[in-house]
Amino acid sequence: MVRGLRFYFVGTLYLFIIILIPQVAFTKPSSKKIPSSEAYSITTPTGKTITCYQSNKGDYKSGNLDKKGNFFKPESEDLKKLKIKLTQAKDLGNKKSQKKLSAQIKIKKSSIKDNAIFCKNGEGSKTPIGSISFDRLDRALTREDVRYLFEKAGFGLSPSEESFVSIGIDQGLDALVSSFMQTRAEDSSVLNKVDDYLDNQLDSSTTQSPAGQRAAQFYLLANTKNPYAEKFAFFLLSIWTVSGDVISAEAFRHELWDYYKRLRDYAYDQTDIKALAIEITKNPLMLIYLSNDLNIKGNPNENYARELMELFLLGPTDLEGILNYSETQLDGSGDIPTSARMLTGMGVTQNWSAEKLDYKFTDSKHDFTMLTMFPTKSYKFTGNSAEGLINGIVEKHPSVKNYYSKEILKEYLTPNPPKELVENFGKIIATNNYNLRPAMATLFKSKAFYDHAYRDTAIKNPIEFGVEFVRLLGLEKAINPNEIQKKIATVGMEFNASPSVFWYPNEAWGTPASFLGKANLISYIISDTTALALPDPDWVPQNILPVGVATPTTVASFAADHLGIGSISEEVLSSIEIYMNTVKQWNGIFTSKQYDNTDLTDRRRKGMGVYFLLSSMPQFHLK
Amino acid sequence: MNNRFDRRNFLKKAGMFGCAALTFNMMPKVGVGSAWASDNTKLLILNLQGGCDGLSLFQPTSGGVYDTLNSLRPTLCVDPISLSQTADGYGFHPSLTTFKSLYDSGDLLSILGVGIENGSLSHADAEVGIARGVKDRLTPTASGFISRIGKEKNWSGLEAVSITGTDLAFSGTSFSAMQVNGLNNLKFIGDTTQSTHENSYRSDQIYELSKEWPTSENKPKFQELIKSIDLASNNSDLVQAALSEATFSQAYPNSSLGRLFKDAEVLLSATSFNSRVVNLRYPGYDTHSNQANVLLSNLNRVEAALSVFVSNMKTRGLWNNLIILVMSEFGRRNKENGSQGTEHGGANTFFLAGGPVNGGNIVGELTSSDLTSNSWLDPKYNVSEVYSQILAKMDLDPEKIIGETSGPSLAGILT
Repeated sequence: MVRGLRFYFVGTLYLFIIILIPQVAFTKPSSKKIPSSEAYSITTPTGKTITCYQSNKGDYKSGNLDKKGNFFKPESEDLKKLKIKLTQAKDLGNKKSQKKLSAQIKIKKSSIKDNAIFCKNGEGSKTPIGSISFDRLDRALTREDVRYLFEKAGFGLSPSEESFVSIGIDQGLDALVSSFMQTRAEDSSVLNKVDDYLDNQLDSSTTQSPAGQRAAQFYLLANTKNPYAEKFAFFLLSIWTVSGDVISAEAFRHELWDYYKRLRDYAYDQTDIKALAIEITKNPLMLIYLSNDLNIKGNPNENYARELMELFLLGPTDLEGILNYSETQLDGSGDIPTSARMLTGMGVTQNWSAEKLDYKFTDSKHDFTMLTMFPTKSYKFTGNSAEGLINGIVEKHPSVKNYYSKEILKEYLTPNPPKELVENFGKIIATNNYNLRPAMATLFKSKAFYDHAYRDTAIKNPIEFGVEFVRLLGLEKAINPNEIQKKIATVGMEFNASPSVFWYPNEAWGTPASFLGKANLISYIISDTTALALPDPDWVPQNILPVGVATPTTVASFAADHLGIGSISEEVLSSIEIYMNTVKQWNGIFTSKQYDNTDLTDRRRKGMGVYFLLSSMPQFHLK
Repeated sequence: MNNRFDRRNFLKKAGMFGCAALTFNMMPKVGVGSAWASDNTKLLILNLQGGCDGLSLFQPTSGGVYDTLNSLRPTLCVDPISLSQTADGYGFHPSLTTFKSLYDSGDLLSILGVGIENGSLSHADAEVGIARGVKDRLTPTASGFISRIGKEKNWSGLEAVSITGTDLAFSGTSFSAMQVNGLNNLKFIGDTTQSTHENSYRSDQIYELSKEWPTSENKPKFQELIKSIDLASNNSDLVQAALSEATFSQAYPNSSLGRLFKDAEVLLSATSFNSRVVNLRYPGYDTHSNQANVLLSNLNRVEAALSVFVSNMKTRGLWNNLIILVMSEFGRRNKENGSQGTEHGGANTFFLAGGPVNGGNIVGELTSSDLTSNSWLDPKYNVSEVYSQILAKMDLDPEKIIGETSGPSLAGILT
C-alpha cells in the first residue's frame, strides 16, 4: 500500500511537472500599463491630434487614452484586435468580412507607421497630458487655484480681486465660478475714459482712429470688472477675426469697434454660436473684409464661404485629419461653391448721414435655388440662405462641437489638447446646444482645468501680458494707453488689424524678438508709472514696494507676490539680491551699494528693476 | 565688489571670448562687400503670401493658351502689349521691371506648375506643405525644412532668419532660428528714465536669471523661452551693430517692404555673422476681388524694394552667390470669379533669380488643356525638387533635409 501511495504521489508530481510548469513558464506575462502622465499630445500639420508615448528603448508609439484617461493604449492593440477578427472571419469562411478587415489592417499599419513618425518628429511641440475629465473637481480649492483661474480665464488676480480667494476657499467651486462669470456694471468713469481714447477727444465723439481703438481696448481690459467676459470676447475675436484696415473712410472707422462690441455682447450673454454666426455673416465689416458683399448670383465669390467653414465653424479637417468639406470641382460642385451660392445677395450700403454701414439684402442678387450641402454624408441638408446654411452646419455637422472645443481648450487650457479631451468637451458644448457660457462654466469647475499638467503650457500674448502686469500692480489708472498700444504694436500685435484672418499663432509670442518686445513694454510701464505720467485723478498710488526699511529679499518676495508668480527659488533671490546691491558705473565697473528701500532713487532704479526682472520669468510669460 | 558676481561674470565673458575666438577661426574670412566663397551660397525666400496668382505675374502672351486664358479671365487677362514680354510667349506683369531685366540678363528663370502632392486649397494647410519642403503634404514630417537645415548643420543663431515673424519653415526641430518682426525690433530699449548702464545691467540680469529657472518641472515651454532668451542675448547686439554700421549704395523706399529688404541686405552682407537663409513673407495676395488693382499696388511695392536690393547686392559683389526664390503657397483658379478676382487654386509659378541661376529660361509649359481640364493648375513640378536643387547648390545635403523628391528633375536650373 505504501508503494502504491508512493507511486500515486510521484505520478501526480510528474504530471504537475510536465503539464503545469510549461503553462506557467510560457504564459506571456501581462503587459505593463502605461500611465497617461507618461504620454504626450501633438497636433500634426494636417490638424490631426495624436497621443504619443516614447518607450525606454527610445521608440515612439501612437495611441489613445482609455475611457477614464488614466492609461495610454498603443495603436498596435487596435491592430491586434483587427487581426483576431480577420482570423475569426477566415475560420467562418466569411470572404466579405475578410476583405473588409484586410483593408482595415492595411490602413491601420500605415497609420501606425506614419503616426510613429509624427510622434517622433513632433517632439518639439509636445504637450503633457493631464486629466481628460470634465467631471467636477473633487478637492478643496487653494489660493493658487483661484489665481490660476483668473490668469487663464481673466487677466490675472489683481489686488482688487483678492476677495475671490475667500469665495473659492470658503464657499467652494460653484460660488467662485458663478461670481467670476457674473456681470458687474463698469464704472462710468472707466467707460467715459474708453470713449475718450477711441477718438482721442475728451468728452466728445468724433472720428475714431485705429490707434485710439487699441488704446481704448487696453484701458478697458486693464480696468474691467468683468475679466471673464472681456477675455472671452477677445477669444471670440481670435476666431471671428476681422481687420479695420479694409475701411478707408474715416467716417466708418467705428465699425471695427462696433463689431468688437457685438462680440463683447455675446461674451456677456450665453454666446449662442448659431446666433453669433448668423449675425456676423451679415455684419457690414465682415462682408467687406471677406468679400461677401461681392458674392452675387451667377458669379459667386468663395472667400467668405470658405472661411466660414475653415475658420469660423468647422476647421479644415476633423480630429482624425479627414476633410470637413469638399473643394470646388471643375463642374462647379463642391461644398465651398454650394455654400457660396447660399450666401449670395448680401451687400453693404454706406449711410453717410448716420455715418454707418448698413447691411442690405438684394433679392435679385441672391441664388434662391435649394441646394444640398455635404451631399454624400449622413449630415447632409438643404437650404438656400445664410440662416439655412449656418443652422444646418451647426445642427448637423459633427465637427462643429469639436472645432469650438479645440479652439477653446487651446486658448484656455493648453495649445495641443489631447484628442480625448477635445472630444469630451465637444460633447459638453453639444449638450448645451452650442451655448458656450454654460460649457465654459463646466470647464472652470472641471478636473481637467485644474490639472497641473496643463499649467504653464501657453505663452501670453503681448496684450494680456501687459494688461495683467498693469492690473496686478494696481496701475490701471496710472497708465498711458496711447503709448502702451504703440509698444504692443512693436511686439507685433494689433487687435483691430490682424495681419491675416488666421489671427496670431501662440508660437509668435515666444520668439526672441517677442521676448525683448515684452521686456521693453514692461520697462515702459514701470518708467511711465514712476514718472507718474498722466495719472487718472482717481488713482491712488498703491504700495508696489514695501514701505519703510526692507531688505532686497523682502522687496523681491513682495514683488513676486504682486506678480502672482509664487515663491521664487533661493538661487533667483540670491541673483536679485546681488543686482539690487550693485551699481554698474559709467565705465562698466560694478560697485557695491546697499539697497535702501527708503531712498526714492533706489526704489525707482532697483525696486522697479526687480519688477522688470521678475516679469521676465517664465511663470509670468506662461499661463 | 561682490566676488561671486565678478567671478561668474568673468567666467561668462572668458567663455564667450574663447568661443568667439574659436568661431572666428572656423568662419570664412569675409569683408564688407567682398564675394563669398563658392560654398557659401545664400538664399533669400520671398513668400508672396496669400496665394499669389502666378498666371498674372507671368502670363502667356500668344497662341491657343493665351486665347484660352483670355476666355477664362476676360477682365484679368492682360493685353500682351502691356506686359514686359519675353521671346518665349510669356510676359511679366508690367510692374515687375526688375524681373524682366534679370530674365533678359540670364539671371532669372520661371518654373511653371510647381505644386505638391495632395495639395490643399486652404491657406494654412498649403503653407504647412511648402514650409515642410516634403514632396507630399501628408508626409508625417512636423518640422520646417529650414529648421531641419539648421539642425543638420548645427546652426545656432543668425544663420537662418525670418524677418517677418514666426514662420513654419523655421520651426519643429531643436534648432531655433531667429524669427523677428523687423531687425530694428531685436533690441532691448529698457527703462528710459534710467541710465544706459542700469539698463544694460538689467538686460544682462535677465539672461543670468534664466539660467536659474526651474528645469526640473519638465515644462517644454520653459525650455522654449530659455532658447529665445539665449538667441536674443547672443545676437541682438550683433544685429544692431550690423544695422547701424551698414551703408547702402542705393536708398530703399520708405515702406514696410523697403525696410524688410534693407534688413535682408544687412543680414546677407554682414561680416560679423554668416546669415545663409533669410525669409521674407509679404502677405496681401489673396485676391478674391479687385485682383488687378491689388496686384498692381502690391507688385509696385515689390518692384520698388526689390530693384534696390538687387542693385545693392550687385554693387557689393554678392550677387553671384545669392539665390532669390519667389513663391507662394498656392496659385489661383484658372477662371476669374464675378468680383474681378480669383479663388484659391493649385500649382503656381515659382521664380528663381540670382547669379547662380541658369536664367533667361522658362521651365515647364502651360497648355490650353492645363487651363480647361481642371479648375486650377495641376502640379507638374514638385516643390521638394525646387528646394533640393537649391540646397545642393548651397552645399547642403538635400537628401538628409528634404528626403525623397518627386516629379521631373530640375537639374540644371542652377549653374
